[in-house]
Amino acid sequence: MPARSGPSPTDTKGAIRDFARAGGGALIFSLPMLMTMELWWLGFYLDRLRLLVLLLTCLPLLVLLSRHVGFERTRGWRDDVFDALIALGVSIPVCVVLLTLFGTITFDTPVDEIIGKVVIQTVPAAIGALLAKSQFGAEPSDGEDVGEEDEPYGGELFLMGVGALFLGFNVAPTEEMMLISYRMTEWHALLLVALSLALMHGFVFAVGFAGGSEVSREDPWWSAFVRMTLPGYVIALSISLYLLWIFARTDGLPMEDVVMAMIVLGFPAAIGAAAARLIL
Amino acid sequence: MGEDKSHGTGKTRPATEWVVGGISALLVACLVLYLGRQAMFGDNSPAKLHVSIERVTPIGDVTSVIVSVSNGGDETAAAVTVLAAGSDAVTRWIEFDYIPAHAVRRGAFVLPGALEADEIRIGIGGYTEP
Repeated sequence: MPARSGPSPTDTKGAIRDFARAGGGALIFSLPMLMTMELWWLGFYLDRLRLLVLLLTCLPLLVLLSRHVGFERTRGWRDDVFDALIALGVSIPVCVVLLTLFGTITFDTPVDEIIGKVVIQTVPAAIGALLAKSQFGAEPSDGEDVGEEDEPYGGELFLMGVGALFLGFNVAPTEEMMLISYRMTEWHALLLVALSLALMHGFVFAVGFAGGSEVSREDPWWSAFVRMTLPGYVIALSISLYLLWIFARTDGLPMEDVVMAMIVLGFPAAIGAAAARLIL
Repeated sequence: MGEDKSHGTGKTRPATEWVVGGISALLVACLVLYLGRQAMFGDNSPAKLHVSIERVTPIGDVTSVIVSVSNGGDETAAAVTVLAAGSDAVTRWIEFDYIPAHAVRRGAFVLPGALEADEIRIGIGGYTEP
């Protein structure tokens, strides 16, 4: 990768193009959430401690994500931190502009409410900004074989977590998520767990989507199921629980209802985890 | 960390992957057992709603009355209406979208006049299935 120092007209043009890509990624990833009213409401009533936790957990996630699929090939942790901050820096104005255009932020909106609304939206937007390279970046340079590298096991699980977070974030704040869990019985939940696992395994290994993980033909099906699908599902459920807590969906609920809501949100999160290679 | 030759493929699988997989299998098995137990032996009683006054606070010429509604049943109640009347005998109501099984939700009435708790009448108006 070329050094960052000594800006030339080509470097400046490239930097502008990278920023534009990041802005485009932020827009695409956050648009469904920018147009969801439950997320606007959360912006003004959500406990500020939870917003802080969301932001604090988002930063290391972005740094690690930059390590794996950033919008610029990076050389070290310092570059990754830098890229994560750029992703946040690009995402915030994108969110502010769009929320203003949608009329959810006006001159009369209190600063506290603006901050709440923007912080919530910034997380998916920043993920999108970081992923902009893998989404829009046309060509790998210098003979890089981007996306075809062998990801270490921890990296695979991390990407599954990001996929789960992204898809879970889209639906976790909606009222329908809780309504579905209230309407379901434990029998429904058991079937949903089975379906989530089957679809996850199918997405990742069985049906051979582009970007899915390679499994040797001689490996028995249960090997990949135990090593990848089950940990991926546990990660998806953990991310679901985290999101339910962040969005105050667990407040005042007994454990049975929390488990049911976690399984319901775990379904899209599991699909997101399984399809992480396709999404990210 | 030890390694294992994977079923004659010649490809090594780090033991870490099996450990993580084993722990995950255990967690998913616990979840399935918990759901199975709840499905087979859990109660299935209808919603049992109870409303009580939590706090009464005079604010100027009105009184804020915080109420809590609990559901002691095993089914979720939707569109739960809670009624309240103060000294003017006019009935006011608020609606909770959902009161899940064994959960508590809170809301507030604003009634005219400075009232004490024993001057306020509250009750459940009704509910629907979600």
